[in-house]
Amino acid sequence: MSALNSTPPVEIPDLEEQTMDRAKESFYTATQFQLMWLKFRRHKLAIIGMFVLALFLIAMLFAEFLAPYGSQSRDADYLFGKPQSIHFFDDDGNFRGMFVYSVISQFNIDTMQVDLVEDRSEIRPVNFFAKGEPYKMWGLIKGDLHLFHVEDAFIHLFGTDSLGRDVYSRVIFGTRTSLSIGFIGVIISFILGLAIGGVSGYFGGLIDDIVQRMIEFIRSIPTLPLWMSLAAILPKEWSPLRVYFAVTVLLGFLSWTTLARRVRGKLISMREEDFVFAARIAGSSDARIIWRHMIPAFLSYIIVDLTVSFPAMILGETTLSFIGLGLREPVVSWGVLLQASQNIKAIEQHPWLFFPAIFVVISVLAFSLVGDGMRDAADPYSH
Amino acid sequence: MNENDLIEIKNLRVSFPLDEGTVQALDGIDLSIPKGKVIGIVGESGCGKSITARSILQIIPPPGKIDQGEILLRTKLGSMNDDEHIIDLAKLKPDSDLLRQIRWGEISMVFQEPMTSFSAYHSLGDQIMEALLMHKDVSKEEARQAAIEMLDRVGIPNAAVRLNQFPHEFSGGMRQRAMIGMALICNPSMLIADEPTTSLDVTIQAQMLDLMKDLRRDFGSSIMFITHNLGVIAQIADEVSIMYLGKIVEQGTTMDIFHDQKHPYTSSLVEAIPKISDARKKRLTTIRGSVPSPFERPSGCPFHNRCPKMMPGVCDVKVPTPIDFGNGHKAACLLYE
Amino acid sequence: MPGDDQLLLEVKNLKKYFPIRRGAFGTVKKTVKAVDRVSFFIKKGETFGLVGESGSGKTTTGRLILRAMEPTEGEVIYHLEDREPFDLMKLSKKELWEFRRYSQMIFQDPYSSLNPRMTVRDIVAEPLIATKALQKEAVTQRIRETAKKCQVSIEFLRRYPHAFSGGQRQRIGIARALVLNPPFIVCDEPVSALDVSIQAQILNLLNDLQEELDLTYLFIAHDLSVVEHICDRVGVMYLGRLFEMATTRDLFFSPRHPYTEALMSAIPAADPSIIMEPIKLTGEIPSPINPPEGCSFHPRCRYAQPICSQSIPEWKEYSPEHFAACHFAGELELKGAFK
Repeated sequence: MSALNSTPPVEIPDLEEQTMDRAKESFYTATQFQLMWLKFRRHKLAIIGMFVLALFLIAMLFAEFLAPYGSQSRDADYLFGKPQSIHFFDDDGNFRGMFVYSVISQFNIDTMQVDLVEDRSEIRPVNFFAKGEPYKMWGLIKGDLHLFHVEDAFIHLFGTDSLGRDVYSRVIFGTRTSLSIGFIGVIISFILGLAIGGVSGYFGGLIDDIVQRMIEFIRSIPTLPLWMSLAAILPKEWSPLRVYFAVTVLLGFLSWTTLARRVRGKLISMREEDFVFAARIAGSSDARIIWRHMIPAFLSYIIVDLTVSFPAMILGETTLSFIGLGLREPVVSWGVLLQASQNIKAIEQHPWLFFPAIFVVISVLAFSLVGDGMRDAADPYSH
Repeated sequence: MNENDLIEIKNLRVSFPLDEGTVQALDGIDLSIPKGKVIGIVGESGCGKSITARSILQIIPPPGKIDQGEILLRTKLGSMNDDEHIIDLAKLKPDSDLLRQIRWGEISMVFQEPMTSFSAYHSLGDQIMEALLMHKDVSKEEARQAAIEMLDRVGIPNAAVRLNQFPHEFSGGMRQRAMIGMALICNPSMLIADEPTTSLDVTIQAQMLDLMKDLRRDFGSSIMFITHNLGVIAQIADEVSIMYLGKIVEQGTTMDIFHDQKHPYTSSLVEAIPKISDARKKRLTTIRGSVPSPFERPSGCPFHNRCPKMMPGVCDVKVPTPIDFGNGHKAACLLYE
Repeated sequence: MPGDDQLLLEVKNLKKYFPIRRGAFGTVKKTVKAVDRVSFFIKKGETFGLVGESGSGKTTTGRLILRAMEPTEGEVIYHLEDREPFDLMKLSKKELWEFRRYSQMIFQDPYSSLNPRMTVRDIVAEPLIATKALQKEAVTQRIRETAKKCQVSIEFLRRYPHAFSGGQRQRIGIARALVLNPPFIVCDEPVSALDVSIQAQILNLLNDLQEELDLTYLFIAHDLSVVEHICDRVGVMYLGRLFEMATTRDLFFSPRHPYTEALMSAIPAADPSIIMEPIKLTGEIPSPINPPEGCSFHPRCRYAQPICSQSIPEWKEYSPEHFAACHFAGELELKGAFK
């Protein structure tokens, strides 16, 4: 009781003022990444880019679920089939939900050719979250659930290729391959760049000189011929999976130089920073200075660089595969898919084979937009 | 507009719409610059002294914009019959031809760091000559001659040779001299000097102040001298305006400002600087707190939350208006209302 | 020169030469003598000022006497309460690490000297943690005490530096320097980046802390009015050399070096009724790569004689505690800043 009585009367401050102060306080106590997010959020385009990348990520992770068919499944009756149209109303104008018509081959007497026409006699409803072709997700988890599926018929949103394989499903699987090559390549170049650039910048002297000359040498080689010759070294008898890894590692090994330079430059300028100097006088060890002061300071810049170097990886893979030096069937990547549209005839007669290119463009754009926003946000302390 | 005034600024308001909120950089500035006088503008960081100067030439960094007010200039430029007339600079478009002629032709500017105001890729002489060739009808040879004379005049030895050198070959003091030379080459009626001695060493600063005094006598230009250094302003200015958070809180002759302050901010400022004297050292007078964030302008008098003479219920409510103490000495303080 | 018991440190013949590297693999061509044959002493409990213009070597000297960089030559003898006098330059890496508890530094730029990614608490705690000076449990208590002394509110400890203005940041920097309770602080231009009103607050704070904690300061500055206000004794540097050293009063009243006289005359008085008569120094400060022969000031000196370009003047005590390096320091009648 006495304790209760001795409590001084508490003044309840104005609620509005209190919430304002709390907002201010949370800004004052915001960490580096919280501040970066505040800054990043202001870039509408970067946010859109981020959203697009999130979709790509989902496609990459859940390709089996999103694609109605496997990458090698064939619809033997529908070769070079154009994208099917989605219908909502039947011929009588009644609303029937989302549905497609099956496609049948019909011999055209006038042109003496086989035409593919919609069989309007039967409505094939599109079922969502329906059981379809069985698969093993990432080769591990068995399943047969698909985002959408058509009973007793096929649905080809992006049409089919020369063997009747569903382009849409293949693009989804290609997304997985192409982006994972990007991811692994970026991680390899990140590790190499950080380690080599770090050693070069921190120790300086002769090591620095040697590393710098080496980087200059690597950077002076024209990329395309280099890729071609390196890819040509890969033995033809290697399995597609091995080639896949080799290409990934190759891309990673060639793109670390920019990052290494960046890390080195940052380390050198950071050594001169007052707060690093202050830490040294405070008695901090080298390890503590690197860990507590230097790495947090340039981590954000490195993440930006990685984002920006992503498109180069994706384009690298696409280019290599497109010219036939990278991945090959049965692995599907955007580059592999685009091989099918290598000639003018393909573009003229089967323009839908070009869908993978749109994905390449969208992903590269999205990465660039996100990279732009991140570059602005990378130093939340400048004004 | 007074006959003797070259420039009269009336109720100038400049704001910066930023993501975090709008910053009222200038909150109703009234200032006149008489012909041939040195007007000092003094204030702490964020008081708007540089923005005032930049508004005159309409070179406010984006997203700043003039919301209101007039900047009247007496000039012959842009007049039909070559007579003096008055134009409102605030009404001109920043990229208009007339304003371009006025910049450097009529009003030129010297910045704190002259390295950034010179191009590193052209020789100093070329840049000075360029300024003259753009604004005056002279031949290249005449321009060259004028540039040599000017460099000589601002105390750069061996001017004919140094004309061909690049800005990085000059020391800080020499670059600042060259900058002043370039600013004066078109014989402008006004020179805006934005912290021109702040990055210089004290002995070089003394030389610069000397030079500016000489030049003002010889060229008769008005000088708007912006600084945070009260010592420098005491030595060079005829009249001084003290700014705080986008307002002029006190203006008067230099003597008024240093010996007969009316506004508590001015007197605190003058007392806060250590003065070299034989007297025993004592604690410095301080102004409590620090300049508020531009997003949180105090209500009433902007200085009230730091003022030693703050009157509760008055200063935090009412916005003071300038009171005339005679002879152009004005202060905006509620103590006198 | 005062007795050993009065001294905190003695600097003897300190040199720092920077090699200028040129070419792809950096062959040394020339050296810059950033600090050259500098000798001075600092007494316990005083504020010793080091003034000079840019390139005079005052900041380098400040860093050398904390051995934040390695000198080319010279000794810095510390006389600390509980230890035998020792030469800082001869300490091993581990001994140097232990020495950090005895001296800290306050920086010029309150923005770049605080790591923006660390909370105020972590910034202030860094010397404690890095030197392992205290048990973990005692750290919080010490941080709170120090913050209070330096007028940093306890609630601010969880914030990051971006929450603060220049003056508050400088207080945080001071708290970091004081958290180990060191007897000696090097203040490297601690107020030159601050606004006038804040400058006065920080100068008063430094004064109060000195009285309360019995601190000794080395105060590096270029603003002579500030130096005159806060320092007990002052040394004047020019192109890496110490030209004069005396008590503040002596130096400002009757300087013995012509450079000091010129410096004094250039101080703009914050009073329009005092008319400045700056002594015109011809030319600019020479490049430190090719300093003039003899006395490095002679090309700009109005009293220069032939001998000045031939031999380097000796560093001599002309009256008690008044040292100068000028051939004519004993003869010239020079004007000080007091009028």
